[in-house]
Amino acid sequence: MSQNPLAEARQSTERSHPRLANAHTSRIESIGVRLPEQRLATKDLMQRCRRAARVDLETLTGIRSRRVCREGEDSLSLAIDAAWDCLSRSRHRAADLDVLISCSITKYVDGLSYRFEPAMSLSIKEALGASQCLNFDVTNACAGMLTGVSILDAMIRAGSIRCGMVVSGEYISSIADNATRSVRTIASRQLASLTVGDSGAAVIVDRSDDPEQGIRACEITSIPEHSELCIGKPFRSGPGAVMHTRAKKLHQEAIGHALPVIRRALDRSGWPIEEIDFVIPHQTSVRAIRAGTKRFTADLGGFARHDMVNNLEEYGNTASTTHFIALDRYLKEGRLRSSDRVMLLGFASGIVIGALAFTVGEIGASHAHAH
Amino acid sequence: MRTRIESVGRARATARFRRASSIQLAADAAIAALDASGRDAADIDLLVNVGVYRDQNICEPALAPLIQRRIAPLAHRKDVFSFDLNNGTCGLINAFQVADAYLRTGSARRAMVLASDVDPNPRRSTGLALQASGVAVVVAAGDGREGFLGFHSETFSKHANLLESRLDWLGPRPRWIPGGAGHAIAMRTMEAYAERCAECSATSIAHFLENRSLGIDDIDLVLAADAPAGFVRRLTALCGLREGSVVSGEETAGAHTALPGLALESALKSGRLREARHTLFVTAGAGITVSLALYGS
Repeated sequence: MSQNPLAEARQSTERSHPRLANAHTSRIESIGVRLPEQRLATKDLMQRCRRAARVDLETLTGIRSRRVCREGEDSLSLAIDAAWDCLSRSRHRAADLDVLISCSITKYVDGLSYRFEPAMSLSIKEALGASQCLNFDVTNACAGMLTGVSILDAMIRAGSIRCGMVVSGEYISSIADNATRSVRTIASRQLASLTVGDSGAAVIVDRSDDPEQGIRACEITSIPEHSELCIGKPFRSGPGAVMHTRAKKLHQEAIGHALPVIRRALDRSGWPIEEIDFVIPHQTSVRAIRAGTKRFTADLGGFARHDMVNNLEEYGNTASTTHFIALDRYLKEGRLRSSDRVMLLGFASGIVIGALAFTVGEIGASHAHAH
Repeated sequence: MRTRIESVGRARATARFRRASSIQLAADAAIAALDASGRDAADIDLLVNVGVYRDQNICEPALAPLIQRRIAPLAHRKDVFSFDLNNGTCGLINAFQVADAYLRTGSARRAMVLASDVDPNPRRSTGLALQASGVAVVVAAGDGREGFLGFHSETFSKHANLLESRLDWLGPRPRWIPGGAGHAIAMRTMEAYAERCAECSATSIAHFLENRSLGIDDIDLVLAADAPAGFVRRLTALCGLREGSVVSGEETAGAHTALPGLALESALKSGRLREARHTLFVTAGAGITVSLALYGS
């Protein structure tokens, strides 16, 4: 095992560059989101803490509020609504989908009932009327949707499919509710649970005729020696889940191991970092985003044209959907042009690190048209 | 290029497990598969776990990196893509299909698919009859004639209510009650489930083979996971399969997601997989979902 991350990155890129050899390329064709109407302010959440918490969460994370589910909303309903939103902006109909992948961490139906079988993806495709497409669920913590996009990208490049959807509904706010019972100081292992918000997101990936457009690189890797830094499981004292995180260590290790993955994605895409317009990182806290920017700028000798995207203030950390919630907002606000190059950076428990590089292409046009 | 099955490893819960661990079972099976392949793990780039029922009902992170951490040759690698893929008993075939795409594009050189299930709290679960076991399958890109020829999945959603399993909060209980307070898994299986699975599978097999201009007589070997119990017997009768052409892993009933892999291990060990010109993998699970794969040697 090499101890030098730069040497590792070089070694990996010395492998063949299969993307260039594949007959097909893929692109993100459409994005849809679903955000619950109900907002929960950080100060209101902190007031629920049973032990007077000595934590200024808003200053620490930059999160002012987040969306939370009302009665009648759950992971499945958020995913289905996001999938419909995505289809409404797409040229494709539900019947065109060859594959549907659900990537929720939380698989809650009928409130907080966690469903193992049948797969969530089955209920989503049935709701859409995409009955005969292949469906399965994927879980990879907060990198779930990136993992789903990577799978569709591989299947399209292999010529197995033409079009697929990745969808996720995250009714994850139960971990915040449960954390309010124990969080007291900044050192609490449930502090990170207070940053989450509920949401749904969906994305359609299809075959691209233009090899210069669309997805140029998708690199995801696991660093298993740190897989126990963040563990989520059912709460022992009530419904929903609880998540224990060694947040500082997790953040340090994720940032520390990200460089080879970013380099690999840049090499595969053929884009120097300075030619990337926007970098959208996983949304955990404004401090983490700043620290990441500083570290990557120093290590890469430069950075993207714009600051790293910060979408925390109103939505918080929406788990597997964060990148696509941020992307959707930027598209709706007209901040992205079709020629812009975007990199999504995934940091998830596992530890999973991912980098997806693509051009905006026609997604921007479909968003502008829809709004 | 074809994706070929290189080796299979299995693990069973033994007395050394006080409570069987799905993570450890999958890791033990992975080591066995690597030993059987006779090659090191340096070029395994993809690790997919398809197990559904796991230690402590962990929902984050994916189980795959937790398993990878216990596979010594992979534990310190920093370039393996690992994640969970869940689709009940059909997960293994779906994972082969995903691995096939990564291998064909050259994004991965070899891949390992893992399956293991345990009941994390047998005293509280209802309807979940699992036999703790694990299986690991190594697949690689091959240049020869052997490998997967195609995949097919179909769902029959009118039967979606025939099997469902969930984890629910049972409410607070006094701590002195065995099992304590908390959540419990409930699997609800309707009586007609095995019968409907067999009927749906027979329909899917007919569609799949017809699309490939093959008949059931062209199939030399059928690897059918006997989940639900009695499924294989019904399928054999419905499809008119030749006696002795089916390997089902019946002796490991209750292995759930590992079951198709255990049937595969049996066929590989006996040499039947390599002898058969066409092998058909058949799995049926909740949904009802049927996943099939055709393998040529």
